[in-house]
Amino acid sequence: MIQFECPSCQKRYQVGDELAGKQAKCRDCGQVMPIPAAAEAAEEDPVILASLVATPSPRSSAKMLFGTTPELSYEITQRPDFALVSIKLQPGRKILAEPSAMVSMTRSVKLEAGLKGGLGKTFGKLLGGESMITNTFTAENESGEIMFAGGSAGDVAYQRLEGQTLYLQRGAYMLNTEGVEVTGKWQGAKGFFGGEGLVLLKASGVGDLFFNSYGAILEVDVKDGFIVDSGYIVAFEETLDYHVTVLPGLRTGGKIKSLFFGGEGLVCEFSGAGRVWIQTRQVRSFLSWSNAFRPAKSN
Amino acid sequence: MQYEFLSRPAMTAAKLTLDAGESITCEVGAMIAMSRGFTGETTSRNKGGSGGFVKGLKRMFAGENFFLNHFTATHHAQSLIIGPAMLGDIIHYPMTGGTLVVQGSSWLASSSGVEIDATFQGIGKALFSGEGIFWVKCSGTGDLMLNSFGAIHCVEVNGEYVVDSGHIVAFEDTLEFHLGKAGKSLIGSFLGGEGLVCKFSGQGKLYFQSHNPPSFGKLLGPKLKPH
Amino acid sequence: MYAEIRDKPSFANIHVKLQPGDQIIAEADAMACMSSSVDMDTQWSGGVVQGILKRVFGGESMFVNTFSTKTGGDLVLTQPFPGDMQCIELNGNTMFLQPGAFVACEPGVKLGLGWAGIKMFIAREGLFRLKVSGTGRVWFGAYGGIFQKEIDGEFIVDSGHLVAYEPTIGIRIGLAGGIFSSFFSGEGLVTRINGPGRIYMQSRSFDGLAAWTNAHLW
Repeated sequence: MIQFECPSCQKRYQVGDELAGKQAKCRDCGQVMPIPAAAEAAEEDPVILASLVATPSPRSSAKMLFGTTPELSYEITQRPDFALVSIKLQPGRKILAEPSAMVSMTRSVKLEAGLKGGLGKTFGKLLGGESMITNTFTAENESGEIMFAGGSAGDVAYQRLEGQTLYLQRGAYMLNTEGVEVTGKWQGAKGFFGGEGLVLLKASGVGDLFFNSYGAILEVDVKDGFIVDSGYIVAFEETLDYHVTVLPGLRTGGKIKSLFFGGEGLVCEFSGAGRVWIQTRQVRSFLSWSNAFRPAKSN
Repeated sequence: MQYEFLSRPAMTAAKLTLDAGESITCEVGAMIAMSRGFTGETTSRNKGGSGGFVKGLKRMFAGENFFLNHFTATHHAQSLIIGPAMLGDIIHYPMTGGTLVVQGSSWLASSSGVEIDATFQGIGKALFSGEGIFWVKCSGTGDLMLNSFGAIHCVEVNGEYVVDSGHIVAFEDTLEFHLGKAGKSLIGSFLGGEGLVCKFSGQGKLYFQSHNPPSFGKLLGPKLKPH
Repeated sequence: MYAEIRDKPSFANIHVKLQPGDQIIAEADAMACMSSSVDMDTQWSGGVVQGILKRVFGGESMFVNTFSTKTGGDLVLTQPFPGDMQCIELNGNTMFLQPGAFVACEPGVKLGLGWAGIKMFIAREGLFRLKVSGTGRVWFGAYGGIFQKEIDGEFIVDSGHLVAYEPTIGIRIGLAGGIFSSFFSGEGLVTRINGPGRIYMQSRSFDGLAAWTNAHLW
């Protein structure tokens, strides 16, 4: 086996000895390079793509995720800190996306705006049951490719829904196929903070769902009971029992109120069985920190 | 106490495992997730004794308070996952009786044998009062968790070394330091954006971070909604 | 001159080992730390209108520093935001960069500011571009991860996600869809690209971060 690195992006590869000297094209960055060999001249062979076996780069702690579903093909790269999702659609297929998530698209893709669109509206208060506002990307006459990314640093997770339901933190929503319905849901912390509580989205149906995080994602399969600070929840399965509460005696940081997480100091206590996706950073802390750098309002 | 670092190096979280009776003190807001067997308390004093953070608090950035959360495990093998406010890494520094001066936003957590004094003013008020930087002097024995905005690197100073002040994570107090200008002329330094830098001399470890929160904030700030 | 990009892709910074005779030129506040034997000289980046540069470079100074040493020393250069860095070696060729992407270069590289071409006056990334030419290495960086793409034909990129491109690439900045679509879709300006040529993209955009932050604020 020959092991080598792309000279441009350092992605590592491992290929059979028989490919020594052949030209290869890096899956990530497109760099064309000769596969190193002992004393063999590079041949003018066609570029080899499919036979390269990607091994995880030592620098990133998470490898590229990819797959094919009945509706699309996807690749999640630049993980876990600046994850990017690449979606390939066959002609006629479509995907719904959070407004402003588009990074690039090929020319055959058509973009249709959600009716009430715009970033401010999207992040406005969604009443229970109201649908998410999304943009629709359709590959028209040819297959097309669209790349999507969130606004902040962080990772992307993929979940195939086959009738089950996932709850998502508001800011985590990224992409879904048509068979998935995404609506708003309030989960009040009874009696505390004047009725504010966790602000969640509910995703259910049959199809593909992509969601993102601020920070890296840790997947936890709850068995014995687990407490997560509300600012660090990305998503969790409906099978879990949970209640929103406050930890007695503790004060949590951040004076910034956010539409996303309700009042400060809330934690979510999970029990039963199911998966929770948590993130290793919280938006509230970022807002607190950046607050000092905001311009002053002029009168 | 056991510790393990997850999701390194830019979104690092620390998973701590504590036994019944063991406790840890963390920056407020650092708790990400935990198992059920803990009690918690918020104070603005070091659990071990000497209060008096009043001086320290006055030097804080408007709107921020140096409150501490103390978690004590009530059962065996309880886990607590913590993370800092900003993107970046976490390292463990074993305290063995010496003194480490830590940049305020780089202090994440420490075990009860470590004393924390946030009133240290050694470097000079005028430079940092507008930048929200403060210093925490750590002494005693135990575990200390430091975080960075950026990658953390360690320099074993032996002679002299220059660091832009926003990049200092921590330094052993065996080092001497003074403020100086970076470039050849005062005007050059000021306009060149370096302003004043910290010159360390002597022998000791210096931890620095590859990135600088105020630079990031100043670039992002003008694009944010006024308040 | 030894220079290595460390801590890719999230907090990339350049570790330089300078010998007498070496020189590296870097943006104003790029110096993180250095041996005391490294000298820093401040000078004009030369030949560009002050007002434009000030806005383009984020309102900070328009001076660049030249680092050199008489006895040898280490230097760490960084950028204000988390993200990736890339190094390209120019050999008489030219490259266009987003102005905020420039980190450092060797003395043989020439920097010039150009107009990327859009009729509407909107202060956003992508309207100006930095032209780097000459010989030597150039280091550039971005908020996000950086990756390359070989383009042939037409391609559409959100303007904030394009870091650098070869001069053979034709660019046209415009709205994402029709006026209606662009306004309501939340997608702002896009750059329509025509190959052939190589482009460098970033997986986040600084304006995207600002918009995301603002969406959370009252």
